[in-house]
Amino acid sequence: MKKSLLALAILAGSTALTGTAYAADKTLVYCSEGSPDGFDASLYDSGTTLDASANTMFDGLVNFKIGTTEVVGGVAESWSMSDDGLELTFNLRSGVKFHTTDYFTPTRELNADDVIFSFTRQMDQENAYYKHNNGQWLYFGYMDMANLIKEIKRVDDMTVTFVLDHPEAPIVANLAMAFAGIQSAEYAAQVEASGNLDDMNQKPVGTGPFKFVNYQKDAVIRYATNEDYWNGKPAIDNLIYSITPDASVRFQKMKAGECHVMPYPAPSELDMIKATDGITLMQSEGLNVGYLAYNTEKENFKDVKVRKALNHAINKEAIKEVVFSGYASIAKNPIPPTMWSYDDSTVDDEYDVDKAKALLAEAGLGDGFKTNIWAMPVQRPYNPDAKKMAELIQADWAKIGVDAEIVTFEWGEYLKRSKEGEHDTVLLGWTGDNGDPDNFMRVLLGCVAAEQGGNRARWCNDEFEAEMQAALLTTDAAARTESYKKAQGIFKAEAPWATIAHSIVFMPVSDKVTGYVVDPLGGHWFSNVDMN
Amino acid sequence: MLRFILQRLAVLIPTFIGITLTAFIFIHLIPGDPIEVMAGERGVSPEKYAELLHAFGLDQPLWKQYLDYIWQLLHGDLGKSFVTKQPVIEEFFKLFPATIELSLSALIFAIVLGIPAGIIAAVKRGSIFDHSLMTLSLTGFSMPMFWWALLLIVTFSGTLGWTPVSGRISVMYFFDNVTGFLLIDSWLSGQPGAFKSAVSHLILPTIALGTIPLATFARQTRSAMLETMGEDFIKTARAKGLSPFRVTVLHAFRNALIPIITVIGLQVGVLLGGAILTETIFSWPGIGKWMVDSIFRRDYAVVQGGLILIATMVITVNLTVDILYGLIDPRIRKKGH
Amino acid sequence: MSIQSSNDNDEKIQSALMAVLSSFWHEFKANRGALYGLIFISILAFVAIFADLVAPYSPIEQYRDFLKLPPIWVDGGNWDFLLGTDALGRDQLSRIIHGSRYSFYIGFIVIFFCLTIGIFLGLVAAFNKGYVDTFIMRAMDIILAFPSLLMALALVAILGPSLENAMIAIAVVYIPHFVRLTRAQALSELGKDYVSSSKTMGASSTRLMFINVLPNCMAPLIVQATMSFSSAILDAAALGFLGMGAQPPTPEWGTMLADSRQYITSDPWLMGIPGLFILVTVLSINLVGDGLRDALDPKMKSNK
Repeated sequence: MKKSLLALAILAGSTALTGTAYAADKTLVYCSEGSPDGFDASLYDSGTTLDASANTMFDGLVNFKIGTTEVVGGVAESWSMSDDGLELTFNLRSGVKFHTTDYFTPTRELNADDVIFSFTRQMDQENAYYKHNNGQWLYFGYMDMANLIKEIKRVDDMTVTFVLDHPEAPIVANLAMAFAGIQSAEYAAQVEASGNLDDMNQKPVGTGPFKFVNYQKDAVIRYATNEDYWNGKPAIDNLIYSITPDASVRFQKMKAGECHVMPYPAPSELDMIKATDGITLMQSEGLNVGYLAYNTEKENFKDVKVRKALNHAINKEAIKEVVFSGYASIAKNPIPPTMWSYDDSTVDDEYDVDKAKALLAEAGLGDGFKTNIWAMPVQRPYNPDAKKMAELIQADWAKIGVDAEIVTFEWGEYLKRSKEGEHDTVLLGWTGDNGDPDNFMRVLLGCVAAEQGGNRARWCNDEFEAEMQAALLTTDAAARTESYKKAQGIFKAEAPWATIAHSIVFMPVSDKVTGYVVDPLGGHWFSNVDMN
Repeated sequence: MLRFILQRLAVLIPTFIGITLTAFIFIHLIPGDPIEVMAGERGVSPEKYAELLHAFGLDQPLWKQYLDYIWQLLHGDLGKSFVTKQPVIEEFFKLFPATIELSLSALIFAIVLGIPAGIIAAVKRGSIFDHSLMTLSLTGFSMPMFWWALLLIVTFSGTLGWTPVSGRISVMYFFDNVTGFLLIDSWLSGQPGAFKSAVSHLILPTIALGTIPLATFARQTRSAMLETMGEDFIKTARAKGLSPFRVTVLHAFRNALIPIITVIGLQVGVLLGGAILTETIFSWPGIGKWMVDSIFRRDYAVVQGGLILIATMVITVNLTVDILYGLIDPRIRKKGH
Repeated sequence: MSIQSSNDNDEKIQSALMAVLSSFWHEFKANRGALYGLIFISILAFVAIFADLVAPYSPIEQYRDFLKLPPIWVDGGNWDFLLGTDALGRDQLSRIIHGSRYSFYIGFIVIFFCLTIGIFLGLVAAFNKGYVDTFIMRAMDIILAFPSLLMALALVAILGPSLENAMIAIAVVYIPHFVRLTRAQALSELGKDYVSSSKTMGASSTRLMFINVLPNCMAPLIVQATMSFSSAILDAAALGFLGMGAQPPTPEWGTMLADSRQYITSDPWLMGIPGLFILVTVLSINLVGDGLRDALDPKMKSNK
């Protein structure tokens, strides 16, 4: 502690020692929504953790350009794919320095060893870090990287080649995700020698725009600017995450000037925030979708007419008004409108009670039936209040004679049981990871997912699946777009889901802050932000 | 005396074993799966699931898990959090000072206001002060605490802007955590304004958490005082012509002290329970919030370890109160035999 | 012979009860706070029983053209919805009225479990000094070692979030108080002359437990029960607030409060009204409890 205080004082221009810490510097305070689980982003998947780790302190081989889903160079300057789509080669940037902190002083710049270490620790079961963390590399698992990457070859000091098992179009975008952040092999060796392998997760060392200073659980995380950042030193001097779980409280703090940027404002307070002097409410379309999945294995939902009927019975306008306070766009496709290949010509199942009744009668269920709606116990951007949403749908369905009971479980139980198909209908959603439609449609509606449970509709449609596979194996953007558009048509006709809404991501930002960009992938980034 | 203490300690052993067993059984009866919670919407493959289950030792038979746990416990190891991977005991001691600071501050608030108010009410029995104090304290006693806390925030932080909204200190102050108690650390740091900031952050949570104990103390002090003031020796003292102040404070209050101390001792559990709500509402980084978060995310190791630590603390406080009694009042010591 | 004596006993109990009741009522009504409390509780009980007739609307009907209306005394209020509407356009007054049922339901069920289980265990402990007593009392110590809200929270997590499970959890954490109280009372009664004399007359120990000792322990238990009634309402609300209580669309007050938390700044009355009702209800019950104690406890009487 003493040491880190000293380090901060030196780094930040000797302010801590003069008494009023931070007074002279540009210090940005971000009121974050929760405590990070740790600082090794590869181990975790919550946005809160990734914001505090990958997004501030680490770079990938490639990065997403902030505010877009466009892939740009990270610690790799350039990359190329072999013609058969099986070898992906990265040329590393020279002069990339790892952070110098009070617990680590790098003796060399980033090279191929660091890249190889960052991935082998997640795939080699004999690796000390793999063992130490019980192999809990969540995203590496989600993206099925272990089956995709056959080998990582060190070509020379500054060149690495990923040898793939099969061609997969979104691989480069996958490597821009948080789990693929580059760790220092040198630091890892030092930590391993010290015996306390947890330090990798508690005292992070990266190449990113900010470096770690201090963390007090449930209270505050402090970062200092990385003076040597390869992409240019950030304009602010200090970055502070003030951990504030309650949305109303975050807004109160912003109003009081205690923080400059906050995520996830309460929908009910948006009007008030807009009207507040000194705060700008930034917004962008979220890369997400909230849906209600019909369990197509259950008797009543096998018939597409029943699913269509229920779709027509749901008043989505009311949901938008009540659950999102009007701040959302109604969903008609399984992917959000900002994603490439979105089919705007899709016609949504409009709210029409008579039509719903007629369809239900055609299906032989004119007298209605009993069913259930599962409502998530947690808040998500795509569904800020699932219980209210369920109550609205329950009331809507009652009008066509469908008597639905609202069911909820603890979150883990909810996910597990819905994965096993115990539900009739279930509310859930998805936020994009890498900006690729594959990351929505195949993982949520594909046949493998139907088997494994990620596809909560348990819907496996041959035509749809054929389009998914076709799009996966080619890198030709036009051909992929074509496939995904066709798939959206099939989806709408078959109605395995009631698509509910795409939320809008709101960021209240203080007028003192310039250059903040809202990230459609839901991350929060401060390297390009300045203050006046 | 030593025998008395040893006797009390011996009783604690089965209680402690019971506590560990209860905590353990609790955790394993809670439905929900820490691995599923960890994986969220994205899920894990069956192979990975089995691998993680094994890594956390959750695939072992229950009795073996319990014995392993006890074995660890005897070595002072409460396991590691499934989520943060930090030793539970370490996290506990990092967050504990915050809870102590808040609880002590609430306790002092309640004692300083509650006991004098109770004395005055007893002395002026039947007066308007007595009636309004008793009504007020009963209202405080009946207050849904989380609602009261939110009202305080809306009024004093939101509308009036007098106090900060949440947290322990403004993030703009950064100094060494010497003791973990921010009131002390901020003062030691010598940074201008730091101490003030820490105090101002403490005000609302203190009021929210201290209201129920305050009401309890006021009521109990009043009734204890009334009881002693009716006794003969007070009447004698009065008859001897001692000043009313001396009679009240020196004689009556001193004798009313034992029941009051009992009540204060009992409030420890209440404060720790209350800390759960207060800390959640005020984002106070203490063990109450830590426990609630861990229950929700099924962090078995933390819930189990936390329950045991908290329960152990409560029985230790009870034991201390017990022993104090034995010291104050030899009659109780004899009863123990 | 046994019939004869039990009749005698019944009569004795009855006349004793009448005497106790009349003196009790005399004491009780002298306490104005207690009287007001009783009046409020009676009104609330009436409203709860006849909720279907009293409430202007169904508590779950959504009036989607009237979302988040304020109460009538605030600008923008609507006379059709006296206390306003919630975020789904449901009438607050109707929800409060129907919600009062849940408060009584919670209170009574918790008290029922506490009294039956608590008295039973307490008497068993008192009458079986030795291992049984030790075991029961140690088990109670263990429950008491966990802060009650934390224990209840963990129990509800086990049982699954619902109003019924919240009530069970609350009852479990209250039972030790009843066990201790019953045991202590019973032990002190057991030392008295009339018990030893009935023992020598050959009364069975069950009989002794329930006919002779128990009625004499009732006064403090009634006071404890009243206080637990109000605490149960508060704790159920707290559990509801943490998402571990009643589930939607149940109009339980604590859950209503939790649901409206996000509107705390934009529409504060959404939170204010259920909170106020919880406060006044709990306060009334506590006032009644105070009155009961003063009327039943001879020690307190002497201080009046």
